[in-house]
Amino acid sequence: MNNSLEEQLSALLDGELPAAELELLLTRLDREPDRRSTLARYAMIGECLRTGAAVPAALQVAEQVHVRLEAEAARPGARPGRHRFRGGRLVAAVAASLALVAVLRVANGPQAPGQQLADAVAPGVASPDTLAVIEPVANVGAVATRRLEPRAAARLTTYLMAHSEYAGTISRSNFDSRLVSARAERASWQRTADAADAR
Amino acid sequence: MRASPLQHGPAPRLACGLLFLVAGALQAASAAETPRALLELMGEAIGQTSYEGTFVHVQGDDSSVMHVSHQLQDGRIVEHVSCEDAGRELIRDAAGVTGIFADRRTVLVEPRLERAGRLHGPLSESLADGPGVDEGLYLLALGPSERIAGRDARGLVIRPRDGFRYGYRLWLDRETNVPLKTQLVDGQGQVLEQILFTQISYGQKPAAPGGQAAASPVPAAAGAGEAPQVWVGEPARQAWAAARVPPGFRLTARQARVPSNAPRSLQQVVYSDGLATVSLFVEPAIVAIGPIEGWSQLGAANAYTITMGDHMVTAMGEVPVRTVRMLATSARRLGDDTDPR
Repeated sequence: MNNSLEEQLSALLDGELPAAELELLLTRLDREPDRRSTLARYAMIGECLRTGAAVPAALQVAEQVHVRLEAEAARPGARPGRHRFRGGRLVAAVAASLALVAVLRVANGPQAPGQQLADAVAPGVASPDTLAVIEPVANVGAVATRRLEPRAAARLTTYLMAHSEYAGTISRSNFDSRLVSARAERASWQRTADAADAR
Repeated sequence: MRASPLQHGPAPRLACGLLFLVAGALQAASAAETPRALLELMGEAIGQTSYEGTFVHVQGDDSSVMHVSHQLQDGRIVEHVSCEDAGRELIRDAAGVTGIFADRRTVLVEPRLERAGRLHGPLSESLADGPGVDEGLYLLALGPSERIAGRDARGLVIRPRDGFRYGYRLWLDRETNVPLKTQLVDGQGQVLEQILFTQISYGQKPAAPGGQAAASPVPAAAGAGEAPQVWVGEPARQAWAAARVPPGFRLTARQARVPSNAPRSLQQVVYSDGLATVSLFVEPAIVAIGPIEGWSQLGAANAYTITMGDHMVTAMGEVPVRTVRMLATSARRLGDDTDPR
């Protein structure tokens, strides 16, 4: 990430990015789809973790972005479809990023989850619903110790895909997410299951 | 003698009718609020509702932002899940499931099989999920309500009664019954994996009660109360099964397949307790794929692999490791009582 892009993202997080630059930033991120969500996510997570109070601000920024794009889309001569889609995806990405921030803060922070969330969601925030009651998620992968070799992981991916066809409604989303997030390739593995007995 | 207007007049009749209507409505509302009824509504909603949204999938320190498009097309659900970070997408449609893994320059195709004249798919399974939950194995309860992605969601808790299966906490959109938040939890209530919608928009809504459903209800191939069948394949003497299964699990499906990325035949035997499913995969042992024997974790899903003679056996499912280990280590060829190890 070069400095210019970093500065623009930082300004976006601070709610100080001028409307003209916002459009340029969106256009730029649009040209680099592989970087778009990563940049937005990590920049926002980093910002939120640094300041500890930026979650609501970022949500407000998301709302501002949304409002600006909606206004832009409504302007005569604008290309509503393109802007609407891009804005919607960005807002969604921002909201998702903030949910991740909440998860990280809750999972890693010293305070109780309820207190952290109470701290994170300030009164008057546009969309605090996103942050509602996110509980820490156990790191079950910490028990196993090694990564599978690529061919073995590919084998498990094949199994995962075959099994997902039989998974019920509730767990199918989890299996799809594991497949799409390349979870099988990052599977933890241990030769014996002795440690597993403890679970 | 003239009848009293209090007994036969139109006003009491109207009052009586209203009373019945109100009582009926209250009873219906109460029935709809039971955990089992909510599960059934959720199954119907997933099979009949079009939506598009963004969700976060979290497991341990690992988290991903994903986009999902879940569309009802010609009576069937076509689902497209993508993750820009990973450069991957998954498409489920009537033809099967296709994984486009740009990061590996690989496309995996899993064709959907016709089974005894019925098409197996997300819709058929979703309709059977609710009734398939055995309350002797799981405790069902209503949970707290929340606001999620700007929508009211009511909570539903599915708690395992033993250590052979996981439970779930669900939050269903109060209007549509689509799950907006799903937590996979262990027997101690620890959250192992979580999916949380941050944005969702709906297209086609579920058919009104009593109205014609968008697709006809089809019993699930892997649902409770159905005998297992062999659809493709291997001679009976080659068929494998687990000699020991945890309480409540039973064999619900069996098939032989040739994966798109492997030249060898692969046998899959599916066990279900009505909610959780475990697949037992058996194929000729392949030295070239490197060490795989033992316990593997794929998020909160577990797999256990063991070599049985000249075959490699892997049990996989969204269940505790003790469950997959029991199935894998007790796998046998049908009609063969000896331990092939």
